[in-house]
Amino acid sequence: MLRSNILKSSKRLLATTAEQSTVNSNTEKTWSSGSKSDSFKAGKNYREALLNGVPKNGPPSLRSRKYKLRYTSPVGINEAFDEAYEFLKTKSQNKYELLSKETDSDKQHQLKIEAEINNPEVKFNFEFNEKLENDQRYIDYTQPVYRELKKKHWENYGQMLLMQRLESLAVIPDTLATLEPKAEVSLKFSNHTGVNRWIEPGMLLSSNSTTYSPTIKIQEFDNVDISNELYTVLIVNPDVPDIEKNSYKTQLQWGLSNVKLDFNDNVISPKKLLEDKSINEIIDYSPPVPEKNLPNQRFVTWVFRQNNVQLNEKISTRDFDIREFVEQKKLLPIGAHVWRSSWDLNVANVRDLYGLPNGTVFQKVRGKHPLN
Amino acid sequence: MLATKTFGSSIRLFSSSVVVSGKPGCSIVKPVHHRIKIDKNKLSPRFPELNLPKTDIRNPAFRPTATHQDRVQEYYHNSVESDLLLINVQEGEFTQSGKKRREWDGSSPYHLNRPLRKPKGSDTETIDIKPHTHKNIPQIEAIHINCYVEQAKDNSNHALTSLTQLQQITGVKPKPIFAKTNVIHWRVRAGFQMGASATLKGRPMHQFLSTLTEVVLPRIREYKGISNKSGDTTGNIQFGLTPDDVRYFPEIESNQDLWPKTFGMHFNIVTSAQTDSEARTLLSAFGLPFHGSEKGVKPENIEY
Amino acid sequence: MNTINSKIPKFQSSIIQQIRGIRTKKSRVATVSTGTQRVITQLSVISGRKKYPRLLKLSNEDRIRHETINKAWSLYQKDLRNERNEQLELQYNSILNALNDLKQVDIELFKVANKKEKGKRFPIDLRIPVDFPANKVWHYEVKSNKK
Repeated sequence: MLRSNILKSSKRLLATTAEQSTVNSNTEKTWSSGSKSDSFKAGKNYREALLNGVPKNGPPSLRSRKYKLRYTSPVGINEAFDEAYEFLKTKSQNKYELLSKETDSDKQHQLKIEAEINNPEVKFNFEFNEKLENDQRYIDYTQPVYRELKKKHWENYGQMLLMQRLESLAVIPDTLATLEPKAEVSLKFSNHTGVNRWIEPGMLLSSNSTTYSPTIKIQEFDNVDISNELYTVLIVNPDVPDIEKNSYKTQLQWGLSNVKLDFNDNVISPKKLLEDKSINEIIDYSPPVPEKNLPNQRFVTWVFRQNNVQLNEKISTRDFDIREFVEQKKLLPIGAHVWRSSWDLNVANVRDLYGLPNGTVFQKVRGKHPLN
Repeated sequence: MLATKTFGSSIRLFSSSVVVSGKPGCSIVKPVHHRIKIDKNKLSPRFPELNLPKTDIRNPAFRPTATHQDRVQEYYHNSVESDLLLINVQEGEFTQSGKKRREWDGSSPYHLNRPLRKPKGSDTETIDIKPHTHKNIPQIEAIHINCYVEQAKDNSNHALTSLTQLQQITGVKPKPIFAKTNVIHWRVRAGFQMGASATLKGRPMHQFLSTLTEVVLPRIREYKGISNKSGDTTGNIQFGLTPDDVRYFPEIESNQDLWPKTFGMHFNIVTSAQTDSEARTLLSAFGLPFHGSEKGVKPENIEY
Repeated sequence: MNTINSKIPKFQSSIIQQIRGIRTKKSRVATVSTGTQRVITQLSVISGRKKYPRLLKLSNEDRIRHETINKAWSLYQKDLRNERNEQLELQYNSILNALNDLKQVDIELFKVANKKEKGKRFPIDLRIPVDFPANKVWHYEVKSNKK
């Protein structure tokens, strides 16, 4: 009993010493004079605790009052942080000075990243806010530093997951030879039939959820001239049975070109398609209607940069050679996504909705000649 | 269609038994397109904190390293490094290639595919000696400690005690060592735990070195120093301590009752020096004494 | 004993003799020899359990603060390292310059200066600096026994 009391009081003591130092350093901290964007400041609830130390009533990031009161910061963290902050701030100031003299765009981009990458507020904003559907007050992707952070975040999980699925589902090389991903492509079916969440690459979706066209989000990371850049999106199905040739052929499910993007506003939604007349629909959306008794079909979304060339072509037939198309139009693949579909009871309804002919039911037949 | 065009013979047949069995039909040509390295651990939802770098405080493997001043390191950078540069640098140095294995002259057909000839006048290859610059100033890289306990063949508790002893005096986790083969005369069987070994690097190494040179070695009676003949010719110096010497380590000395038995050990100090002579010069800066005659140095020129 | 007491309400602890599932008596441990006890102690010292302290749980703010401190520290160390290397490079260049100058002035002196210093030793009295040095740091009057 006695022992625990001593422990409690000593904890209290530690807490009070930490608080005292908070009071001493309670001056307004500002990062280097060059950092102008509002997104370089942490949210007002957290800013005080982040820069001047956790206050008496506990860290604002903890929700429960119980845990707030129980929490004590490590001893000496405030003093060390003040020193570190000043040190990093001068480094950042130097970077901004170099930036003001620099003329090369790529080097400017790099310096902009280096000037802010160590800012604790930027780090806090990025770590504890929604990254995919970003709030521009906290994560502003027009700032190179946030794009860099997002790129690192994506490379650590999303990019690897995508490449694993593309490779194991043989999307590459069945559609295009390979992919060096430069942009993050996310996809969801956000209409009344769809599941309102971002689809993990390779997911098996019901025909109901894919009835209407998907919403596609393309996040660019590179230092591209985004206001002049145009993008093409193709959704292809490489698993359409070709009975005559005893093989498969590729069909184009949906095609868009001349899409303009922005670092923040980069969602191709049905609304945007209605509003933005400059977008060219190469071919209208055809929903996945897989035939019965066939293996899962892959639906691959490819995203390309057009290199500032307009692409106003329209295609009427669905049969499509994606490699030839990409070669002809000199498109640069920057991202991809894939989902899978298989026959289910709702396929007939989707066919009715779009006025498609009845599907084929394939049966297992023992052939006369041995197969190779 | 596509597959036919690209991969010739490897057409994805629609009417194959693979399709019937429900397996995904895809190209059988293995793709040559891996541009991104995939770390499967990072994709697994299990143990997410283990995927963080070890310098991240959330990782269970996180260890705080720079917790205190490293005075040995500071001493090296402030005083020793520049002196060593001055001692070692010579004008007009060039790379002296060491003894290397030689080609056979081809006089016999049996020379084909035969392993290369031994170096001239030596059984093993020796390293090249490169010019001394500011980029290759010698420094201590690691200390390997090996504690082989002969009595452990009779009583395995001794091996355990040697492990504890090594942990106590170094502060790092030692590894047990095992007998590799049966030696009938020694009554040793393969697989017997015969002692402990530890590798010290960085801060624990500096801590150990200062304890050794400031506390232990000065108190050993009649201690002459490390032999000037010691060394493996590539800049690593070896020496040993007897069980009685080990008693001077403060961790052992303050707890005499716990240690009725102590064990001697061998040390191998690994340095980045190119020759043993340079390694000795380096070690003397940390207070390690040397004795005896040194090869290539006249007796009157030996410094102690 | 402490844990047992905490499980039993205070006023009853003196009355209740036996509680199901909780051992109230000290277990009768077989007596072991001091040597064996020593080995048991040593085993507990080298067990892995002793090596893993509890994880520090930091709040989000404190974690970012901690990372900032670490980042600043590593950048500071990098600066020191660069500065040191620069200094050594300057020293190296000036050693070579001096030797070249000496070569032109006096070739004999140059030969002596450029000799390989095999068997060179730092003085044994040299100490690694400490915060609280001895009152007498250097014994100036001591001479080597060797002639």
